[in-house]
Amino acid sequence: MITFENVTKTYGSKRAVDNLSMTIEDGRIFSFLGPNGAGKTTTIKLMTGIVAPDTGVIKVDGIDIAKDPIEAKHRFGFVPDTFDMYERLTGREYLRFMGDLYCVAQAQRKANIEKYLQLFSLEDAYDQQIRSYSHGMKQKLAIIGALMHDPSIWILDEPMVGLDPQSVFLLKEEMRAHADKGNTVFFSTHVLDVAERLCDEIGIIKQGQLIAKGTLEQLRGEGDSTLEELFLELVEKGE
Amino acid sequence: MAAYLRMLMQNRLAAFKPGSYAKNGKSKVVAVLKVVGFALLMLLLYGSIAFLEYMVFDLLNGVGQGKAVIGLALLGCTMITLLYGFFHVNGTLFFSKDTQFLAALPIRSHTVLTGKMLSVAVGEAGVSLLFCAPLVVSYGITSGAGIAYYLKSVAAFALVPVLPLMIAMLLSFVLIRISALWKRREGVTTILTFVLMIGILAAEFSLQAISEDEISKWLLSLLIGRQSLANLLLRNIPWLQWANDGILTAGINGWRLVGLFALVSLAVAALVVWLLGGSYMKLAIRQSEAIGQINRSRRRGKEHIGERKPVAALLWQEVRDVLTVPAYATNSLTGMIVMPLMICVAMFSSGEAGGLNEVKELLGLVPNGAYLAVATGVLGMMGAMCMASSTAVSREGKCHELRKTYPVSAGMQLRAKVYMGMVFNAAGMLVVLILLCILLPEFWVENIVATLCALPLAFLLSIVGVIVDAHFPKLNWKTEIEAIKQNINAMIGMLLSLVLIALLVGAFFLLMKWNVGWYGSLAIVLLLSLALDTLAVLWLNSKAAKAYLVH
Repeated sequence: MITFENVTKTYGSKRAVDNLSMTIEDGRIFSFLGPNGAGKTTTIKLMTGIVAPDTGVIKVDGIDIAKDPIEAKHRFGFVPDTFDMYERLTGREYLRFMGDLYCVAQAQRKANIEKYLQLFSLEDAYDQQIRSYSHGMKQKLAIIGALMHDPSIWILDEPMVGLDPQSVFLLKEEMRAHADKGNTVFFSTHVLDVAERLCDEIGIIKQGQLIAKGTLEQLRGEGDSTLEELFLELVEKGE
Repeated sequence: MAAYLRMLMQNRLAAFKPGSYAKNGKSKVVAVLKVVGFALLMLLLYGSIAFLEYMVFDLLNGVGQGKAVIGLALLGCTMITLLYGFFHVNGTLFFSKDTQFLAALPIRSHTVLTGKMLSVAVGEAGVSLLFCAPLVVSYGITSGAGIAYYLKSVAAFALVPVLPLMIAMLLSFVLIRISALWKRREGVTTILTFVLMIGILAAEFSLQAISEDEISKWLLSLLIGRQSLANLLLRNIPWLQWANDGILTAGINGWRLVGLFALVSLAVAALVVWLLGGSYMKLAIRQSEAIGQINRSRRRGKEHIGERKPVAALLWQEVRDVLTVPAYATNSLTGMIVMPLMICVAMFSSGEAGGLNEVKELLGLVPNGAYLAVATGVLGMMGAMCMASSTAVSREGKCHELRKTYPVSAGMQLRAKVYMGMVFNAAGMLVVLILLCILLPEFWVENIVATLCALPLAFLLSIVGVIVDAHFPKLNWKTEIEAIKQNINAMIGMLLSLVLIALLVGAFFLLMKWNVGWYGSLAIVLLLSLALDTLAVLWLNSKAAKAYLVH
């Protein structure tokens, strides 16, 4: 479960996140939508401890990330939008590094690495340096790294970008499976079609404020609009 | 060509705009204040260097050799540019990340090489002018030199780095060509870089080597004032002699000599760029493409998935980072390699065993405690030259944000960086220890004790470097060279280390003055180092760790 309580983050005079309060329950896939510059990435940075909020509290699995960041960080796995790091490591070395950081037992890391390497067809690239990978391969490696410790919360920032259709399908399957085990999946995306089909719950942010949150049915109300229509309607309202 | 050069220039100048430091909406006023504070600190550090240079001038002037500072400065610039410029040139030409991008643009290979070399040369010229100015001005004021002297000095010192940079560029091309023959070319590049460094040092030593007969002759000439020390230093380097004589000679002859120096420097640069320009992009692309092929043939099978503690994983990652990136390896390890290298090269290039015997006889006259104190200081000082610690946070670059999501404390991340610095410092010390024990077996006990005593000092210097970088990291870089070579933290870390060493040396001499004795003074200084270590660790785990999370 992820909880935001009156969270605000300001950069200079701009409120990137404005008094955000929301709860994402266990066992759900939550899609975070919003136009460019709406505050999606800042929200993710706040919940992963990359930046600290000016006010408010963020709890990950009931743990306040400001008070006990290490314990909170053990609870989630994070996949950033771009993976421009440790490019001289091989896939094997990177996953070992992640396993060590998250104190993953040997049996578990071996099982997870084998499972996900096979799932994402990365076996052949496992011993190559990361910089020889394509964008999609890097993304897949980041996903494996994030899932090594079977986190109860999986956070992904624009995870579909750069992935081939087959990998997108596999990723969606994995996200569903992860949530079905009682875990939380939180991801930001611009692909409304994916959000519509995959998510249990949707949140829309605009100018730092959460303007809508709920299941697709709740957002639709009495109507039968698509998510795209709803999104455009909500975002354009008041402009 | 003009567009490319303009872009390079704008890119370089943008770094100096105070506004460029204001990011994420932070107040510009705060950014400007930070820049002002930083500038004041730099001014203070520059003031100390200028004072040291003035002391050198004063010393030489006292023995009637004041004008020798010009020759000394020219020689110093050439040597330093040759040694460090090589890393700079190699990194800029073959290890920057813009190669593939540039390859897709409609720019000639010659233009790219010219642009890159110009940007390196401008930077080196600035450094040369900045560091030699105190010596030039000191002599100019004392001798009552006119405006022509200063104009000629500016022209000469701005162009002094050109020839060593061209030599560095030639060596860099050779290095990349040779390393292309191996699969693990990054490791080969790093090793060959150090081999070339040994060659450069050996060449410099042999250029300066003087026979005993020559020494007597020159000393006599110096004493009776018929010869300048500069002529002795520059006798094998004609172009520096032209520059030196040109600066110091009044009238048209002086201008003619400076003009000759400038003409030769620029002509050689044009020739080298013309010769190598055509093949540059091909070689650079080959280099960047080949990097991706590394490990492709490595067999699977060995399961390197054993568990390690998080701090061990972080430490291993830090060490690996330095060792596998040539730009990091060559710049970080220089400190630990230069000293043993100089000992070896000095020994072998002179080729005289007699010199060593004289050193041993001299050391026999010195109290053991004094030897111990000096050896401790020298070994500890090796840590001051290690850039690995003072750029450890900056080198994270784009990874920094992701690293903040790791389930380890900021303190642990920083400690891993300090340990990494210590690994390299200790390795360097070990090499020096072995060399000293081979060369001076009579002092083996003192050498071992000195190494142990130097560890707390090296630890302190490593922490100081990490603290500085944690507070002011340079995370926004495109090339690895920017992260380490063009990172002011490397210099600040080095200078702060030197200040700390100076303080400890000062305390040592004060204790000696109070008749505490060699061993007693050393023991007290050692305790002082340990106390400073404790304070530094506390700072690292509190303020530096907080600062690490803010950026």
